[in-house]
Amino acid sequence: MASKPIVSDEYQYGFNDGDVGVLKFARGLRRETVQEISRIKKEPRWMLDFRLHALDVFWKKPMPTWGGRLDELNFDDIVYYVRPSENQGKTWDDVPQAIKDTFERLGIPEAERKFLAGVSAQYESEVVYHSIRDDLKEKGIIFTDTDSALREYPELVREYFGTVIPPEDNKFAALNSAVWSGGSFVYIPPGVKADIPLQAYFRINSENMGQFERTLIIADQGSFGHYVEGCTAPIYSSESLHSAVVEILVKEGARLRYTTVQNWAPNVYNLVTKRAVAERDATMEWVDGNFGSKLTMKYPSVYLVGEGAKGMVLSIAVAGKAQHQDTGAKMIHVAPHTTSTIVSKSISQHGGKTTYRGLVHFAPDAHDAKSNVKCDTLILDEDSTSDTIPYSEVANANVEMEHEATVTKVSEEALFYLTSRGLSEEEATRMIVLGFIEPFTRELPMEFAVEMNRLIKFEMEGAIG
Amino acid sequence: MNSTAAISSQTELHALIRDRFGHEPDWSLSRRLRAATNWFALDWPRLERTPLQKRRLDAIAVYDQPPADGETQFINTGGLEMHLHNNVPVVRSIPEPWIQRGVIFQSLRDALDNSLVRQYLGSLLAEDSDKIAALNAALWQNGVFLYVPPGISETVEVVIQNYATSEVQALLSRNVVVVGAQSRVAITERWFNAGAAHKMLLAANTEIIVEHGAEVQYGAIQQCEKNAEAFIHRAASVAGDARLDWHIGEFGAGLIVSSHQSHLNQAGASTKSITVFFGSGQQHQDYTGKSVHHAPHTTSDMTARGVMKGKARSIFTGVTQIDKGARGSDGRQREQTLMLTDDARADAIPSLVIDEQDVYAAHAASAGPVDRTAIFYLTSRGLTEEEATRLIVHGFLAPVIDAISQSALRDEVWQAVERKIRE
Repeated sequence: MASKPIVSDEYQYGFNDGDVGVLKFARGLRRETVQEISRIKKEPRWMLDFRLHALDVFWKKPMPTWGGRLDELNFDDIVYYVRPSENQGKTWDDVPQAIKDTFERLGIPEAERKFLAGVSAQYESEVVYHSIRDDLKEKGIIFTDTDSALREYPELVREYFGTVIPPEDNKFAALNSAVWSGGSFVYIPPGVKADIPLQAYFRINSENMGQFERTLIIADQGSFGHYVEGCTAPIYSSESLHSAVVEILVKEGARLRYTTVQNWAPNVYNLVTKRAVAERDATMEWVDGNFGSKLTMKYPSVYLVGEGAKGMVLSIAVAGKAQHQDTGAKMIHVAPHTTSTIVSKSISQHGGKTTYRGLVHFAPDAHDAKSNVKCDTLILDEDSTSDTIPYSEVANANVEMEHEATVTKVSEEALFYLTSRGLSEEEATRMIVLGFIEPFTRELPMEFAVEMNRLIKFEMEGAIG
Repeated sequence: MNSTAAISSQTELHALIRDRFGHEPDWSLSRRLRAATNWFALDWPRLERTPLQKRRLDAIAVYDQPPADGETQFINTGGLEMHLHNNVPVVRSIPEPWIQRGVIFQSLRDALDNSLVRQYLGSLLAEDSDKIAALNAALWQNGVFLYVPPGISETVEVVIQNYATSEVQALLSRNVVVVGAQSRVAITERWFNAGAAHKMLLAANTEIIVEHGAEVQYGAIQQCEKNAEAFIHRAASVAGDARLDWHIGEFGAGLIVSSHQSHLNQAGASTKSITVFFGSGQQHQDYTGKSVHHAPHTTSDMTARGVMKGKARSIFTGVTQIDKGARGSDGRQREQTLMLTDDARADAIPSLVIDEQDVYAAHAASAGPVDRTAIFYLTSRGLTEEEATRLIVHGFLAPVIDAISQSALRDEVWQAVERKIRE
């Protein structure tokens, strides 16, 4: 076995910027914490009530007993709100220098100049930089942070907020509902096509920080949009928590794609609820890349509630040393003639563990629905493990469900063939890994393909800065 | 017979056990007493998708001893055969040549002095995992002990038939099978009962030890009436280069919770399992198949095929587990369900738990309706829709049923399928 890692375990974004916060809460979660967040944000009464109700739900719900190990996660050690800057920057120059340096190092402004329709950058609890291209604004596309949206588009937010993922859904959705801050709000009016991606970037900087962004995306009838997000955090000796809620509504005939490449530091608990509702003839696509983190539990789902709706999840998970990627997808077929596809690729190495956990459900009315699920896992070394746990529930005679999964090591025949053609074993293995994840990288927008290249190809050569 | 309605404490149950099983060897009696203590301490099984609260298992008179339905007759049927009525062996046949060669085929109660029974009873299936396991361990009424010595290369064919009359409240059964190195055994096990207005609890555990290089085919068909609440668990330990095949047909019982597991303990061990199930009416069926690779170069192949109709509900959980160090192992699963009606429900959870790199593991699952085009084609050729559906069900199940090697069992499974289609 090659001594250099195939997919680097070393974390490139592990630097921290010192404490740059202008307002940082004490550790721990109390009723006052929630009230204070709401007060600072000058929120309407209904949102405070929503938060307090969610807090009760959070306290009442037990910790999940399935999935990854959560016993080291201590809710009293977490800082629930850090405001990094007094104001949100409209131009890059307005952003405080320390934060700007971080995002420069992460490559955010170049990405915006080159490829993006709009970009939003969240640092700790608040969105510190935000911009959207004028032509999209003129088409009526709203792309802002969720706090601003609550002030500027209160009816729109109130109509949809918490409707896709109510606080009662799970313990971490309840926590997010109580202490959420930041996140993106996107509204694409009927018939409007946002032909270049809207991007958000989430960065945790403080130790023991909890980041709870809340994203709400509404693709109105016949519209199209592509939302892209990335995440990083520095490495500290103790744990941080990222617990986002992402709610998406894809209205009749609309199509929305949501692409994430999350590359958290190896001490971050990444416990995220992502769900979309697809109406009649709508299409929802999740492209979901999971690198890093200590434990990720994330199962993007699509509720196919309108006839002819389509759902897709394309995901990749890479688990390295001491990491557990417990990821998967859920497709809930409620309406007739709905179709779904799940393609999952997992790689475990250096003692890492990947779990594919998925659900395909066909409700009694979902006649003529179809689902196809394919999960493949590569285990790259002797210390690494993998579980595949797909659930299928069929409550209807007229559906077609197909599921396939494999767990393998790198094929010795393929290695033999490539090395006999003059490649080193390391090069050959790398080629096979890149081929294995190609269905995923093919779907990424260009600037993310660049990041993926950094993550997989460049880093595989051991050239870590 | 004792009145058992009054039993409500551990002391009373211990007294009942001493009364009923006091003549058993100490090791067996003390196990029963220990299990009785657990019975009061433990909960009913917690099954993710089979809630038991509504099934009112508490209301079943589990302490009642089934009435005798005949006395043991030693009949030579030409093969090894035991018929248990209400867990009393009414027919026992073992041809003389097999006795000469050291084959032991007894009721389990008669075999308690055999050190192999003491060694293996409860060795693969826990007696303290839940209330049903504890009940069965405390009050098991009878079952079969089969021992086949090493080196018997012609296949020893064995039939075990279990039947319960309508009076039975609880049928609690244990089987222990030990197959010596290089020997070959084919077992056919049948379960059925006379229906009744009251519920019958059926708890049956079978433990099979397959020694080095031996080959065992374990076939079973369950056709209980809908008053049966059945919990049937089977486990095998498979030694090096040995092979165990499960052929299981599940058709009856209102509730069936059934599992089979193979532990591949040494290099070269292999297991193959076929489960055919057919749910109808209000049946609730919860099946688990487990292949556990503890050793290198072990192989497993699990197939389940089910047909669902009426308002029946099925769950098939497959687990292929490959431990660290089980290099070069190959574990596969296939689960397919044919849905005949809209009100039926079928869940499948085919999981792979892989702790070793150098392996191949795969599963495939599918569910779907009867192909309308095929129905159209067949009906346009003059078949009725029922006949067309029947043909399609046959076509769906044929590849797995025809793979059942015991021909009598294969025919019975086909007959059961026919009966379920017409139901």
